[in-house]
Amino acid sequence: MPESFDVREVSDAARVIDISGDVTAQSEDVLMAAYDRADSQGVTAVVLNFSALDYMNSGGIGLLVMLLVRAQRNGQKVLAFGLSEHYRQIFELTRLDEAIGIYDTQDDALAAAGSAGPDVR
Amino acid sequence: MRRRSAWCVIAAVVLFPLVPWLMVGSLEDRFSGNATLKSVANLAAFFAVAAWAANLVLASRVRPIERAVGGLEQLYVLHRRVGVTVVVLAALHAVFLTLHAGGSALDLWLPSAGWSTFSGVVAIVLLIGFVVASLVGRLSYQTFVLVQRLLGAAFVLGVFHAIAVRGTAASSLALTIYLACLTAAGVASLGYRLIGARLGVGRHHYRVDQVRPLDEDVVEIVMAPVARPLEFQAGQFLYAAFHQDGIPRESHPFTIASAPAGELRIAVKRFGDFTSLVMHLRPGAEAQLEGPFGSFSLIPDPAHVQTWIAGGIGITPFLSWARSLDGSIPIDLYYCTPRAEQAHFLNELFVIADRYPRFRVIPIRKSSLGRLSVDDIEAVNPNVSNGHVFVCGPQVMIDNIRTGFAARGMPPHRIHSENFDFR
Repeated sequence: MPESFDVREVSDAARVIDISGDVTAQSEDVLMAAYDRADSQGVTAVVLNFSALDYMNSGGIGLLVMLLVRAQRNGQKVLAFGLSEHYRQIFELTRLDEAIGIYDTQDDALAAAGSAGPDVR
Repeated sequence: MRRRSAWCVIAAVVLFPLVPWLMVGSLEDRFSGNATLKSVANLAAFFAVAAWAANLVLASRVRPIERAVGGLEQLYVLHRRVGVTVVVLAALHAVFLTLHAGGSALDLWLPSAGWSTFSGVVAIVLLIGFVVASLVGRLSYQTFVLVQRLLGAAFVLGVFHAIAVRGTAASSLALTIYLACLTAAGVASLGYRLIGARLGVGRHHYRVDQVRPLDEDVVEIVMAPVARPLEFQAGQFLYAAFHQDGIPRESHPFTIASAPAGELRIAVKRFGDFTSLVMHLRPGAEAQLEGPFGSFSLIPDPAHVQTWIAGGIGITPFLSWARSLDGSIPIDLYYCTPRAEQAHFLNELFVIADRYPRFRVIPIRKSSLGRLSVDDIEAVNPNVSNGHVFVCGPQVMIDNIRTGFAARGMPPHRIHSENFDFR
């Protein structure tokens, strides 16, 4: 499990969290610290990049819901991209796709978040 | 609905003496001048005896009655209100009879009035004194039990007075038989409560196999049946009394945390004197269990997502449900605790959720996330209103969740709650 997840500032309104390795109940500190860094003034979308995800279990699903609760309280959308077919199915099975928009690429996710365009960095 | 039906039955039992009373003598005579005072006093007495007997039957806590009134919490509410009604009726009886007696009223209150009359005086004084003490003060368990026993004695005195004193009861055989039957029911209920426990009637004998401290304030107790095992549904609770030196043989309610099949588990949190002593329970101790009680049951609806919300030790009924899951029901379980280390059963719940992906377990820590709100739940599941919501935790949590969903137009029958504060 990585010591931290990278957070990229892709626009004034959107941040991308690059998730890597395993996401389990033990990832809480790392994931929430990444969200804390992503959650700055004017941010309306938090985009989760799962391209480097190795493994996620029910503990990880629970953490994503926690993150969703925090984002909703701050008036932010949560979107995701880079999910493998297996984890796309897991998102459907666990109903995460009902609250987290799933996209193929970062550009698609940012476009859906209303953050694509000239001010994407 | 059950609550309303229960009130109707109680009202019918209490008011029934009016029928035989009306059939004896002329109304004109009994409601003319000073006689009106005595008639009102007598009716109040008959109603009081009937209500008192009904209340003793309620206090027996037998399962058919608990189910009929819609659960033990409702039964306690009903018991308390009927108790207040008895006091009011008894006081009315005393006041109207005193007014009727006029100048010689004092004679009625003294032993010289004879035992048939003075027994009523003793009964009223005991009744009003004990009920006021129960309502105003927070009695210890031992004092509460003593008060209940003395109230039983006061009831017998009250009935003796109602039947033995010269008046309508004596002249109406039907009324006398009715009061006698109610007395028998009341005394039998009292006997079941006070003596049945000692004899083990309606109890299940278990042995404590394991006592697993989860932190300094919570233990999980694992028990095995010595004889006939307790049959229950996931989410129900029981009364347990433990036989070990240093722990009073008091019977207290605990939610069953295990699945109906296999060993029986309860989780106990330190709330008061008794639960503090239970922290010192040792394997090998005998346990006497009574139950099961409660109707906080899983609704097996695979079509809609269910929302389970647990506050602290309120996780126990959900733990029982989760341990019994077959994976067909989509569920969001919010496990709310003040701090992460107090979510003792989180890892086990995650293991169950790994097995059944439609079951999501969401830890909510007050220290980092604050209180869970209905907005949070809607953000996670936009279709939450289509399913059922179950809450078990402190009353304030239940109230917040109920109010929040009611404000969004969710029908009350879809919100189910179990409050452990009343215990």
